[in-house]
Amino acid sequence: MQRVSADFKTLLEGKRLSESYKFDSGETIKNLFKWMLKEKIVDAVIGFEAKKSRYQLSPVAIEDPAAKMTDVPLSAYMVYNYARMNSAANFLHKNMNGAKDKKVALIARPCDVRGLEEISKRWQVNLDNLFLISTECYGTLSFQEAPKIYTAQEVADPEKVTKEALSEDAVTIWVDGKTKTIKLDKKFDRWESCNRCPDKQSQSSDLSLANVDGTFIVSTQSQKGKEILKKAIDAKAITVQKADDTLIKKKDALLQKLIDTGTSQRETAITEFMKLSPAERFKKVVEAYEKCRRCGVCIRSCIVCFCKDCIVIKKKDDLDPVLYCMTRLGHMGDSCVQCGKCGQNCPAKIPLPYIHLMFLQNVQDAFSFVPGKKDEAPPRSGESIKQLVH
Amino acid sequence: MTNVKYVKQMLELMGVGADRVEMFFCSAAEGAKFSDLVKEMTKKISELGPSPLKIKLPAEEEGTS
Repeated sequence: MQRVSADFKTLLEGKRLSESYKFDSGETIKNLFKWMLKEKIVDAVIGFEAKKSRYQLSPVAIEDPAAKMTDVPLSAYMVYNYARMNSAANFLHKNMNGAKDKKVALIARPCDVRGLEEISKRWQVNLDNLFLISTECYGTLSFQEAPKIYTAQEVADPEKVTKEALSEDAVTIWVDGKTKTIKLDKKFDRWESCNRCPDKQSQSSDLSLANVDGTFIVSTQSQKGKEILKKAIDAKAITVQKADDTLIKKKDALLQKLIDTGTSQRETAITEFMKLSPAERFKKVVEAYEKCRRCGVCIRSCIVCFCKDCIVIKKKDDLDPVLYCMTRLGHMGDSCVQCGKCGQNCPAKIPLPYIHLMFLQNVQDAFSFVPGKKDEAPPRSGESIKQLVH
Repeated sequence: MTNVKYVKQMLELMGVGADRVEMFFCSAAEGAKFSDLVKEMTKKISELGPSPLKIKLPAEEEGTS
């Protein structure tokens, strides 16, 4: 039942190519983006806007190298992600025409990358036009809960926090030149879908970005990533230092620990669900579906949902809540990449990522298909059907 | 066939039962075969009992509200 997506051969090749550098603030990435725009390596970058609060990040497309770019709040992005229905993959696909006519640089989470792979199979994005910086994801915290907890923990003004970093079981925040570590517990924890996720990094990106105790580490993963980073350093567009082996080992150990925890939590959840009787499953799934308000927030948050003319949104008044959710499952159930956004945003608090995870297990058992991997045709696609017939 | 297999997975997940949906192939000339298939499916469904899933159609909803 292992669903860890790391490809061993790519992992080895990646490690041979990989060079790692460290830096302290998101300004480095801002400078890298500005330089890439100036040198016309890319036509646009996906940046960040924090209009209401530093915790509520929205994506924004930037094409002008001279444009005022807010200091990339890198640590905030890595800990809270873009807020609400936004995600790097969603924005790229829906607001930037899937990079079909522009080269785009973006910072994406591993789930964004898996989502992009899936919709690329449906011709919705052009992955060749991307300069992909993927994060080594330690999970995310709620952008609404976190500042409340920081206030409760007597951090004078959560807006004064300058940096944050997640570790295995705690979050550390930097404020007024001091650090404060807050342990994660039942009351304040990562999203459930993050705790059940073993896919904490992406092997197929150009650069990989990590944040270990406040130090950012960028590692090259592809030839393109290596060349462009080297050019940027040589042109003195960015200032970085080589990351020493101790730091790299620390980063790898933390990542492995989180992968192991995610793997075991996922397996436990799946095993427990598979033991349930039909009546118990009905109670868990269908009774949750009955709470659906047909608001469509799950559809708009979903990375792999791409129909411009969504029939479920169009016909929502004719659909019973259970039928609404079943139709969604029927349409995107075999492409869910477990980003968790649907559950995070659902006003009725339906455990959608959990239900989709259990469905994905059924899909894996029946069709041997795991979404998010390169070059694997979805089970209901023309390519797969052709192979059945012959 | 693949879509039917897919829907079976959905029904299994929801605790409704994969046995409630089937796809058979039958030509217009195979009257006897069609009759047998329908009898077989009817028998299977009767044995399974009423479906736990009660989807409300729009017309019914209007009636109650």
